Amino acid sequence: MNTLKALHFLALALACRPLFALAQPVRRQSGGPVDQIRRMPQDQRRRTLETLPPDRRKQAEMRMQKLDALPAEEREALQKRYEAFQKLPSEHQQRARDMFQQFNALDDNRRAKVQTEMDSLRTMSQVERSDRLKSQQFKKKFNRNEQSILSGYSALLDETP
Amino acid sequence: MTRRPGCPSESDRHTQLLLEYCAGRLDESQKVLLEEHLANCLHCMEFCEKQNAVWKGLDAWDAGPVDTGFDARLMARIEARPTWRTTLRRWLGELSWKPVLPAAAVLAAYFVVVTPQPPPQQQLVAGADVQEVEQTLQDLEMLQQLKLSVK
Repeated sequence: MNTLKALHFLALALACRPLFALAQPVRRQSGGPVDQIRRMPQDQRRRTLETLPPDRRKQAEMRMQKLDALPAEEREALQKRYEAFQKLPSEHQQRARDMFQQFNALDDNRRAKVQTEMDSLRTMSQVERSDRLKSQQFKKKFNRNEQSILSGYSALLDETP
Repeated sequence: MTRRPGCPSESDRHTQLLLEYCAGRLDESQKVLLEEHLANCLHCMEFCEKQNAVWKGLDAWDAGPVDTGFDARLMARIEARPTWRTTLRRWLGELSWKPVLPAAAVLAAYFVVVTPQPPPQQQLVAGADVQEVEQTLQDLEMLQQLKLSVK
C-alpha cells in the first residue's frame, strides 16, 4: 500500500515538474558575447549559422574556432575591448568595419606589412602618428590603398577615447 | 371510538390523571372513580392499555451494567486530541488514491508530449539572430587583430 502511495506521489510530481519549470524565471546567460558564443553547443552553432550562405558560414565557423582557441586572459581582454567598442558612436564603429574589410582584402604579404605598421602607429602619440603618415618613408612603403587604410586606422585611434 | 361526556382525555389535566393512574400513583378514592369511568369509556380504556404496554416494555428492558471506565476513556481521548500531523496522516490514509493515478498518468503523458521548452538559446546569445552573431564575430576578430579601442 505504501509503495502504491509512493508511486502516486511520484506520478504527481512528474506531472507537475513542467509547471515548476515554467514558474522558474528565464535566466539570461552571464558574460559578454564572447562567452555567450563560446558556450553555444555545437549543434546550436550549426543551426544558427546554417541559414548563412556557404562562404559566410565557413568564415563564421572559423571565427568561432579562433575564439574557442583563445587563452582565458586574451579572451577577457577581447571582451573588454568589445565592450569599449560597443560604446563608440555607430558611425565610428562602421568606419572601423569598413577599414577592416579593406585590410582583409589585401594579400597575405601586404596585410602582414600593414599590420606591423598598425602596431607601430598604436604606440605613437597623435602628433607622431600624423608626422608618420606625412613622411616620405611611409608614402614609399605603402601604396595609396594601404595608405588609406592606415590613415583610417590612425583616425580611429585618434577618436578612440 | 366513543368518548363519554367529561372524559379525562379531553383536557391536558385529565390526561395527566390517566397517566398517574397507569403509573399507580393515584390515591384510592381517585382510583375508584377513574375505574368506574374506564368501565364505560372505550377511549380512556384504550389509552390506559397503551400506557400499560409502555410500562411493561420499560420493566422488561435490561439496561445492562454501568460502564465505570467510560469517563476515564472519554477524558483520555480528549487529552489525546490529534495534532495537525496526525490529522493529515489520517486524511492521507483515508484518501482514496485510486482515481489519482490515472489522472496523474494522463497529466504526465500530456507533459511528456507537450513539455514546455525553454526559449531557444540562440535568442539568448547577445539577444541575437544569425546576422547579429555574424557581426559580433566579425567585430571580435577586428578588435583582436587591430587592437582598436584599447590604447
